[in-house]
Amino acid sequence: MSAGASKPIASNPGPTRVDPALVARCQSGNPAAQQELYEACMPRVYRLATRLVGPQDAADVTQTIFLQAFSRLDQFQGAARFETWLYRLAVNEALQFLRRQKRYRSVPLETEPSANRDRSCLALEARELLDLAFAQIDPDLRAIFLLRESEQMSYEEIAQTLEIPAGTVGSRLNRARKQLQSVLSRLGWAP
Amino acid sequence: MTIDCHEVERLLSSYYDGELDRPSVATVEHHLAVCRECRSELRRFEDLSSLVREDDRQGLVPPPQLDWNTFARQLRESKSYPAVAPANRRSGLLDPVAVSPRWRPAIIAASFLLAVGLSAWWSLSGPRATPGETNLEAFVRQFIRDPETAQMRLLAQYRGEPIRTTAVARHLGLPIPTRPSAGEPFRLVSLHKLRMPCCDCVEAVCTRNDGTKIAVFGHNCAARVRLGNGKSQQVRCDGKICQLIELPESRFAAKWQVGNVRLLVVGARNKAEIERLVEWLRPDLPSSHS
Repeated sequence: MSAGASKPIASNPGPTRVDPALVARCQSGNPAAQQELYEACMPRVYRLATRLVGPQDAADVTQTIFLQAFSRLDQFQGAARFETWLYRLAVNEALQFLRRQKRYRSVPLETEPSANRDRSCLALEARELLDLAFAQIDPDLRAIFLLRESEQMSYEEIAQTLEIPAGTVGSRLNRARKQLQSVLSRLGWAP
Repeated sequence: MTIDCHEVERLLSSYYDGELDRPSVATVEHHLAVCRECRSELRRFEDLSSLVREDDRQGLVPPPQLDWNTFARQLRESKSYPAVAPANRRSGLLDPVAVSPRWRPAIIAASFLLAVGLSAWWSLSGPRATPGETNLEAFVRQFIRDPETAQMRLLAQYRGEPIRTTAVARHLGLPIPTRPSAGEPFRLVSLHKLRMPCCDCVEAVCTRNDGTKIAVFGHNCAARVRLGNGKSQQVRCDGKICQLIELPESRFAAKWQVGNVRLLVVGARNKAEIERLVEWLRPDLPSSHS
């Protein structure tokens, strides 16, 4: 299999690209560049953190991610895209946070099975549904799903970010999508 | 070439995401044209993407805590001192408790090279900035709720280095009990040197008998440490005058002085516990008694 050989079915405009020159200015200690880089990347990292660790802890985890990113900026060699490096740091930090919190699958199903619910109960907001569903699937699968669906990374970029073989990305995404569908339908999601 | 549902299922994400090569795309599409079940599965992928896009469209506003100015202040505090101490100060990395013996020679060599470089830099960079106050408000709030994360962030922010109890005695003239014994109210679980804006501080994390944690800081300077806006009062604990500060969730911080060392405890449950801490941390070195 090779990437990009067919027309994608899902819309995939790709993530915002960070200018390597901006990263270089940050590495040389330019405060204005640091602010520009932070403000360019923080909202997306915060959104990823919100979905990975939940809204309550996302801000703290995001701060930690950027403190680590800026303190290790000199270690970024430019071999991969900056976003890949930053997202690797973000995902690792979020997964470590979850391990420490032992929050894997910690959110109980609080809604009844779909068969017992009427349409009015299905009016859960997309965010509420996703928060509940994400909390109940394997965090590694949650991460891979979000990097694809929300951050719109290619399989190659996902493999670099998560440091996994590129050939396993598709099968992991299959598992992630199946788990999410299963949880969402138990929550009464009926698209 | 024809393939069955099981094989299509295996390829479906790659197909959906546009990551399949042309021959495989043709094979999958041939199957989809005749298999309602696999078409349904593909539609469920699309529905899932729509749900995520809908959430993305709603937007997510980062909280003020993540404003650049707030973050930059933390960043400045974490970078206010050089990453490695000058040559005449022993690095915590060399401490045997922190480093496996087989790495020690390499670390000693690397530290020597770093020290030579930093000494040159140090002599050119002029005097250190005037020590400022340290803001532990965020740490305190988080430590009460989530001590592990608070501790990890503190170490990242102030470049924490593990140190041995003997180093604490050297640094602060204050021995911290390490061996649990019958009736001991706390047990030491970690000991770090932190490069804070005010001074190099020693921080100990201790557990109670029920496993919950408290943090103890020892400073060698008189700079102010901010803990928030909780009510404050002076009380006498085990014969010591302590400043008791109310924290969220019915917890307390307490400050007291032993010789020249200012001790700060974060996360105490009540005055009785602070009294036990004052007693526990009472130095037995005559020179460090207040």
